[in-house]
Amino acid sequence: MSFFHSIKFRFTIWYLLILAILLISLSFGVYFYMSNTLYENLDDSLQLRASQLKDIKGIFFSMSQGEFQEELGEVVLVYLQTENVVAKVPGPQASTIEGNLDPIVNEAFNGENAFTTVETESGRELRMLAVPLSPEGPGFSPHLPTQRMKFNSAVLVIGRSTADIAEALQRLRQILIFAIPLTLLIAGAGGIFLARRALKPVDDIAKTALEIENSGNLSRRINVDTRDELGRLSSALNQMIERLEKAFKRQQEFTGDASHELRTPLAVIEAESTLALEKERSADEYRRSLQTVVQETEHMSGIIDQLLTLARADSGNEQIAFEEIELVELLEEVGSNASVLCREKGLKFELGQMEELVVRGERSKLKELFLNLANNAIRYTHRGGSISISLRQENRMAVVYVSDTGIGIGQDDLPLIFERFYRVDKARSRAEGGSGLGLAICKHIAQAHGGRIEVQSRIEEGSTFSVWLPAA
Amino acid sequence: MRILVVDDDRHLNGIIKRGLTEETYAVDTAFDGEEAEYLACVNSYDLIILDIMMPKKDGIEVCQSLRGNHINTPILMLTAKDAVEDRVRGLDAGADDYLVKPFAFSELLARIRALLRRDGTAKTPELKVGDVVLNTRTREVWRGNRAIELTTKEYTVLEYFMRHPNVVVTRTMLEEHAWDYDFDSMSNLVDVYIRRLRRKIDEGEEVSLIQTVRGAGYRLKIS
Repeated sequence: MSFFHSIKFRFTIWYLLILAILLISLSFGVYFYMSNTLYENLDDSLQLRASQLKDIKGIFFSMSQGEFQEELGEVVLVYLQTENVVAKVPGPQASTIEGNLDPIVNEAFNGENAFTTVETESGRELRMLAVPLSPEGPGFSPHLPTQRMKFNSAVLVIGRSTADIAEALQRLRQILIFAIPLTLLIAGAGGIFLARRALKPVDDIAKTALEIENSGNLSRRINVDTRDELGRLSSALNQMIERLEKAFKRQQEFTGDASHELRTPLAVIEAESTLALEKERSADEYRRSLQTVVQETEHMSGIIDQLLTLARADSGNEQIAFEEIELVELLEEVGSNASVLCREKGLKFELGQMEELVVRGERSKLKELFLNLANNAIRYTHRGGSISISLRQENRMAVVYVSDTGIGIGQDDLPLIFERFYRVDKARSRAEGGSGLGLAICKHIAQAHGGRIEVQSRIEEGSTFSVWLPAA
Repeated sequence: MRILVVDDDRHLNGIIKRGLTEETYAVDTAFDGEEAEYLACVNSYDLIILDIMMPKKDGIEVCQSLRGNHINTPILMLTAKDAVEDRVRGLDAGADDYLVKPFAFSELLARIRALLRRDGTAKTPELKVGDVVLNTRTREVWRGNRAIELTTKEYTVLEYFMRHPNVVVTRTMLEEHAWDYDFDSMSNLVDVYIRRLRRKIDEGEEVSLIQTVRGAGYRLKIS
């Protein structure tokens, strides 16, 4: 997984982009606010200075005499108007001004303070303020004796260099230009670190999944023990892997069992026939060998039929031809089959209480289900025992009970008897023709009809299987 | 030679017993792991044929437990499990050979013969003591140029002697290795068979091979 295709990367990029936009907007804001404030301060200081100068006695006198000393970096001029003639009295520094001051001077003659920005010869920037002066104010007294003219009005122009402001703003720009990328860099590194930390469990999950994929070892688990979303995801995945492992293991066991169950009769057939062929035998011996072969072949084809039934069930496209079935009638049919077998084995058989109930299902399948249960009961009940079948309604369900007084099933085995090929006593059950698939098929048939199968049993006392089917 | 056959399938167990008995072996049977372990501990077998998938105790466990008890009888695993790792597991548990079901009976017999001669020096199916030759494959017995017809049990007894030449063989040893557990050891059957063998092998020969060791048993002497 390349870094550029990772969530970490995209996460960080988005984060940085938003941060960059915020930082740049903030910087612009700060910069313009700073710049405004500084220039406003400058203007204020100019106005302050102007009112100071206005109040200096004889300022005109000293300026015209060239005696006025401007403060450092300051420019002062005075404009005088007589009739329509404007006379300019510049201070010592004022000669270098290049810009046009006329607009603000004119405005000041009209009685308004006015600002402008001009440049000097050397390229310095000056902020200029023109303020109207009253000829009666202190600046004019004592009146110049040599130039006793009639002033209509006068304007004081005062300028100060903006170099300090420009320099401060320049510094601010430099700081911002340096600081923004640095902040983004640090934030980016931090972002990657955080994203990596937050997403490490995802990497772990991917790594574990890949290891499982490569090694096929489903016993591996994702080792994430946080309680956040990823922790929950991991435990959900772990549960899934566990289910897979169990399913896989069941599948393997099933394959192993199936191979064992099919090979055993095959082994008998091959051993019996190759043994018979070792030398000349009597007709009786051949007959006996062939009987064994036939018996085992039947046993094997029985297993294969049952396996096919289950395979069809697993494939999920098994069709059930639903019809209304009178259960009493069906059970009497099963009962008559079972009672024959019971008589052969010396067992008592009885049909117990029967309620008239109708279920929807496929006749042949339900018959197979009940016959299987009856045969099992007969197989595991000793001579002298008894088998009974009864039918009752419980909560809209038709319940068929098949009970025996047989050997019973141990508590440890009870949950497992519906598993394929599970047998409580393998040797005994095979000798009596069991394949280990009968109950698995019964369970499947019950479920395919929307019902279920349950069992209660005590060792040496007997078992009762109950089949619950929805009553029509 | 006495063999223990362990398989939970009664049909297969029966067939193997029938076939091996026909081949002059004395055969005992067991149907689960615990029974097999008990029998193998109390009797001394020349070979054990052991199924793996069995109730109570599986073949691998039985095999490990026998080897743990220093019972070094050759063990032939017989099983439906044929994956390589199963076979490796079986052999690592202490089995000497492995035969996958289904199998041809002749192969089972050949493997039994191979396992039985593994102890001795002979690497052919023929056993030779003096001028007596016994072919374990065809079960023909010759003394010099003279073919000797033996019954199954006579053959079994002779084979035991031939596998242990020049060694004192007690009646108990013969009972244990030539008869199965239905044998009634109070009978004088062993002596009867020795007499019959002597008649068939030594009668009319210059050198008597089967000697009586007084108070102990018999010995097949290399001439």
